[in-house]
Amino acid sequence: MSPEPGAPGPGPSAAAAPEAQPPELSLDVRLRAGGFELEARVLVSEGPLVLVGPNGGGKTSLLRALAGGDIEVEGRIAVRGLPWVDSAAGLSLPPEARSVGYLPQGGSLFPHLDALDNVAFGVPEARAETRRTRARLLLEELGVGELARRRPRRLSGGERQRVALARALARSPALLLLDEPTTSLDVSVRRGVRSLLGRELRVPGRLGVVVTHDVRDLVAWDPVVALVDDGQVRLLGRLDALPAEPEHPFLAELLAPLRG
Amino acid sequence: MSRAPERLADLAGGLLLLVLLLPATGLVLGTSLTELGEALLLPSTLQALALSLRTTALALAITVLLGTPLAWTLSRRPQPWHPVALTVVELPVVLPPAVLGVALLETFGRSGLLGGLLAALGLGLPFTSGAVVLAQVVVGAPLYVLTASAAFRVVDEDLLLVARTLGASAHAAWLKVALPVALPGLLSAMALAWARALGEFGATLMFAGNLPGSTQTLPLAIYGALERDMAQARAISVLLVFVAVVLLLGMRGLRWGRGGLRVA
Repeated sequence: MSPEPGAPGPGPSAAAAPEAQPPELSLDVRLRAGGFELEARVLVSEGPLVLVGPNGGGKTSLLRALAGGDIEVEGRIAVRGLPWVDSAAGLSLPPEARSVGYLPQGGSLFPHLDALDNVAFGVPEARAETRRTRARLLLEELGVGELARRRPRRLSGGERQRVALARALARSPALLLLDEPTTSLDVSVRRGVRSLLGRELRVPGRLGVVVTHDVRDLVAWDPVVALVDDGQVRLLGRLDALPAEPEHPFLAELLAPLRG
Repeated sequence: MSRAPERLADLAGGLLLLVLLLPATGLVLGTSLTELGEALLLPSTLQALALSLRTTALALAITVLLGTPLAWTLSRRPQPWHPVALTVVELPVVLPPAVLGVALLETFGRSGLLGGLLAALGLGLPFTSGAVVLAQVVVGAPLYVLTASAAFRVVDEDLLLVARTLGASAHAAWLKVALPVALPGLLSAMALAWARALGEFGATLMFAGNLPGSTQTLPLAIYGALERDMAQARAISVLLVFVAVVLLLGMRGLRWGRGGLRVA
């Protein structure tokens, strides 16, 4: 896959000061969605970033805000020094002008298209044949090439997740957003999907932001962990930097399997 | 434990099915093929058929054009005005057709609310084909909007957001994802609205009259033929039963076919 022209790559500020790389993700926002508010001030210089926290805390809303979904965002979002949102300046790039691969909970595959056309939908090429060829390569890379002609309702949970991931990668996005990608998977495929994601989350030039409830994901990916709770996002650092006996009850519960 | 209550329930259900099926059966069995052919080819039948096809096609086009955006909006995140709009949409479904006829006359009739204005513009509506179409839109559009809105509800926000992140503009995401995903349900909605418009009788009779060639649709032709030519009334009725059965089978096919989408 060749990167999409103009999307990733160093921003203008990086050109001015080559030794000072801008952070991969810089967030200083207040979100409003439904009845709740979420404040996030986060700088991530090396990913992946994993969001943990109790349900209803706003993890999914944060992902959707990064993707450019219909959520009220106040503040600034910048990816590799490129501003995506700057509410003071009236800037908010529409989703199609950002560089985002989004894998919602359950995959959200287009039900009217087969696996191949789901992936081809996003391939940035004018010719349908070229789009399909690239989509087929992506499906094969993720080990589901033989499912190309199947509709989503004829795919298993693990297969859906792989096809949806292939689709999210179709534009070589700078930001890869995954919402509980290993939840609700069969035990027999969960490990395969987890190690596949581990590879995809470490591709240079791409920042992964993942929501998960599974401590085994943290162990496998060694991400920067952020706790989303109580209207706040708190950056906690890498797994080995976390306290052995966290005070926060949710964290204690999440990390308990590691201490056992 | 006795199974008598279940037996009784089955019996009750069977009885109702019989009551529902009997009239159509009686009608079809009471009509011979030759009589059917002759009556259907009568000039007055053909004239009513042509008028019905013309007016319902126009009513359906208006309904889809104006109703699709409303159905889409109503299927999105709830807004404070949605319950009000839904009540307005549901009103004609619940109102007796005769009331709709009076209401249309009181509004668009010569002495009605807008009648004077329309007459001044040379657009006298009552007792014209335009009145037939308006009555058909009023009774058919609510069914379209309610059914189409249920079909659009299958298209969740994440589906659209994914399409946008894959490079589609809001407009393109709607055309390439929302529309095809909801299409089987939208076709059902069109079938329902069209069938309702085709069968419209009460409001049309009161607001548009029963003038052969300009306002006498198939149901009105049945009414007109009742005392003059029962065979014709029977034949048109059989024709409308046939159309209804074909529509229902088609909708069932849509539901079980491609995509397997079920629409309420």
